[in-house]
Amino acid sequence: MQPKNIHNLFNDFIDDHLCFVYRGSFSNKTVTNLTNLVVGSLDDVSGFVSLRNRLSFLMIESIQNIAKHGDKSEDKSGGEGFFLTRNVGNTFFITTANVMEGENVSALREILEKVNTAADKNELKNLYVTVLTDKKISDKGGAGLGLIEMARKTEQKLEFDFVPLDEKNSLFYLQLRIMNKKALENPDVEPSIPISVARNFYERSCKDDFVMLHRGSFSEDVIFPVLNMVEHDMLRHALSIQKKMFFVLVELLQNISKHSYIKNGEREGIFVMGQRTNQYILATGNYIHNSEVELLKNQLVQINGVEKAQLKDLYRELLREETETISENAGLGLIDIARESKEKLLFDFYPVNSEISFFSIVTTL
Amino acid sequence: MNPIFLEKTKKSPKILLDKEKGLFEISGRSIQEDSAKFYTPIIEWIKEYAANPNPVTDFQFNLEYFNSSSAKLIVKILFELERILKTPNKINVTWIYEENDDVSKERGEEIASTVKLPFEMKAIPSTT
Repeated sequence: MQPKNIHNLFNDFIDDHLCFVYRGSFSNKTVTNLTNLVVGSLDDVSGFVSLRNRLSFLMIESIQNIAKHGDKSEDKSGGEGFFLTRNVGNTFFITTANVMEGENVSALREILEKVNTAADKNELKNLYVTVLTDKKISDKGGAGLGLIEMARKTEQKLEFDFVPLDEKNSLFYLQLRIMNKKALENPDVEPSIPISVARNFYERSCKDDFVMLHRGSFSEDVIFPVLNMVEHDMLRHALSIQKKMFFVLVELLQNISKHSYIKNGEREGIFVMGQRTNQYILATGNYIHNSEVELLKNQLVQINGVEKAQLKDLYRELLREETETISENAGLGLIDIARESKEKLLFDFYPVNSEISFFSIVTTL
Repeated sequence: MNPIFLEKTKKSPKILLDKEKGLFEISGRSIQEDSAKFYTPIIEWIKEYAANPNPVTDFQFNLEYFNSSSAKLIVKILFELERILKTPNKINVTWIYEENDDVSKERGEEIASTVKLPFEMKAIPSTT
């Protein structure tokens, strides 16, 4: 993963107020962390504060669909799958993907089509009761009921797709659309993001090895659910790796929430986590004022030019210094990141306009 | 001196500073953004304490995580505690970390090396 990939990802979701992607195993804790993250970042202007409960419900329901029905690897506590949520305009999209047995596809498709052809709330309710009492379906764990609930709560058609993986398995994509009051008043101007966009993105996340992406406004409190997510994900690793990750992550995220350029009252940024065998990649990107580019660049070049052992000396020196200018504090954070990185820091700056640039940094652990 | 007691939160550590009972402890997570603001009253307290300390001070750090701005303020606290060395009174700092936690150990040793205080590294059994 290169700084330019982070810049591209940031721009791919440029219209999103919030975008969160997670690929991996889904435990109950993951569900809680994810809903906290999304619901916690809703602000008054989003028009979704009053829909908070409905959003949580729908997120939980779709993630539990993965947890229950997704393919379970032996070493994982929950099911494996993919989750993507985006808030664009006045619409929220929740997309999930999980592996299922190909032989169950036609039955699931049938339920989905029934749900989508139900003319109104009443018909959905009747369908709900039918499925509830149908013994044939109920022993499948009630997948059908969840889907009907989703349709009732979103009041929109369920979008879905099945992609055969091999002779036995298929990938099942499901996308929910939740519109707030403004969107319902004027649905024609709302973004129409087809499910294929999420599908392409899932394939890209597999190809580029990234497991988490968060794009949105980074305030001090928004970063905590992200920290919780990563922390929970790292529990299966040795303590020292967990600690390294956390130390680096805190510095990276707080670099955005403390030092990034405030545009329209928000500190917009992106965090991406990648995973390869024995290797984690943590990357962030955010706007900075053009007048700060030179200083930051010099600091990073200096840090990259120093050997690991010397970095520690540099760190100690800065710790002892009495003065506390903002740039020095930022410098200490960057050294913190560099000393735990396996490789030199990768970074770049992309001019946006006469006032700001986009700064992106990639570290490997 | 009035004691200071702050419960730990998801971002700030538990603070227990009680001269009368002889308890001096900072523990938990110290990852608040504005560390300077958080630690200002604590440093003020320690300044006052160091001017008139107990015969023996055992100061304990048990920090799971701390961000870079906290690291700087921890050192500042230690600088204030160094004043006690100039008096006949005793001061000892204990840095507690979970065994197998090389990162916290290393960070503690580093912080220790910035000051002249007697510093004890103490491993406790892992909770996880």
